[in-house]
Amino acid sequence: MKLLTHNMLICPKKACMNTSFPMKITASKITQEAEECNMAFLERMVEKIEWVGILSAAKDLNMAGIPETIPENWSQDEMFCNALFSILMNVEITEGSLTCPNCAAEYPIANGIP
Amino acid sequence: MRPEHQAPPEIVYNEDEVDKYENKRMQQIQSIMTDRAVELLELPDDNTPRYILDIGCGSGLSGMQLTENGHYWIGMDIAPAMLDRAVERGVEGDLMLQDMGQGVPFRSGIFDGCISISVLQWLCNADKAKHNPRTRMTIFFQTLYNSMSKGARCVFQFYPENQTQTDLLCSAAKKCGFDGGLVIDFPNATSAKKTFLVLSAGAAPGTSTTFRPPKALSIDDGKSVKIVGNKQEHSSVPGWKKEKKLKVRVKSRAWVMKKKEGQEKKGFKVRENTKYTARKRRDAF
Repeated sequence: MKLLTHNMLICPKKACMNTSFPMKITASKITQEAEECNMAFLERMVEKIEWVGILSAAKDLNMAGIPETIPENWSQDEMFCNALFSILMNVEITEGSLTCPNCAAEYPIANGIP
Repeated sequence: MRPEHQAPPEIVYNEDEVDKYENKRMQQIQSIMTDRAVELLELPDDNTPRYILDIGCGSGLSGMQLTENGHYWIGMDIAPAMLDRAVERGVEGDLMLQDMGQGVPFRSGIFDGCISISVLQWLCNADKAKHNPRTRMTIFFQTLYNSMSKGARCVFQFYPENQTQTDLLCSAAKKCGFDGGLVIDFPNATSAKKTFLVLSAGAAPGTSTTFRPPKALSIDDGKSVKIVGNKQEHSSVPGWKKEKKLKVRVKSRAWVMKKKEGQEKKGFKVRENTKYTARKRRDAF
């Protein structure tokens, strides 16, 4: 599962709909992939991404160096774009689980499939 | 027998069934249908990659087609065997194991489109005691509507068993706020006939146009089938009626000769053809 997908996921239960974001990640196996930054796609997605979700995912996975908010003029900063894209698309959680913060239901991730 | 009548989808689509999808012809059909579905999505042609949801992605055949078109996607399926094959294949998109009848577990307004190939008819089934097709449909369409961005299209290619199923799906979708209709490609062919349910989640911001169903494909491409609500109107397509076979009058000379030929082929003894063959006897006095 990519972190971009994690950023979109909520608990499917009706009661949790609005309160279950972001899901907590417990990862036991993570793989890295190498895909090149696609600027057009990134620009589209940044509007849709919840920064809170990225921060919580980074905390769960012990990743450091992510700013608290999205910087202004981010699209000019190539370093930042590359880093963001690689966080979203190249980090692949293959084994682990997702936990809903509201109902505490656990969704296992096996073979990268939640 | 329709696969929906055999067993629940997670059981039907087992390892053996997955192997069937390795078939070249099967893959070709899938990719053609995906292409058509993407065409029906009517995404603006500006070369920007879109974020698309693939419901019932299976082994990722339709997803691969999406990647080829330069889009990013998330696939959802209920059959683990199919998803495992997709992982083996190394598809680009992310995969999820999820029953569509339990809803689409995504935040609101994130997808630019949704496609689904040969899946929707499964929603009409009640495979477990607690399943109620009507509620499952409502939950599915409601959550789907939420996860779509304004004006995004959803295209479902499906095989309805009867008119009731189609009506049920259409009304469930309409109840949840979707706008749309059916597009039936090649309505007069038996196997090439494909039913697409095209839904639009509200109007795109800035436009107030109501939903206009896209044109369906027909035998001679120009003429199409107009769809109004659930009713289907045939426009007059010249040549869609099969040419009638020339009938040979029974007991005529041609008929008798044909019969004799057939008998001879089978190895029976047949009288030689003469000028008297099949000639009528004079009426008895």
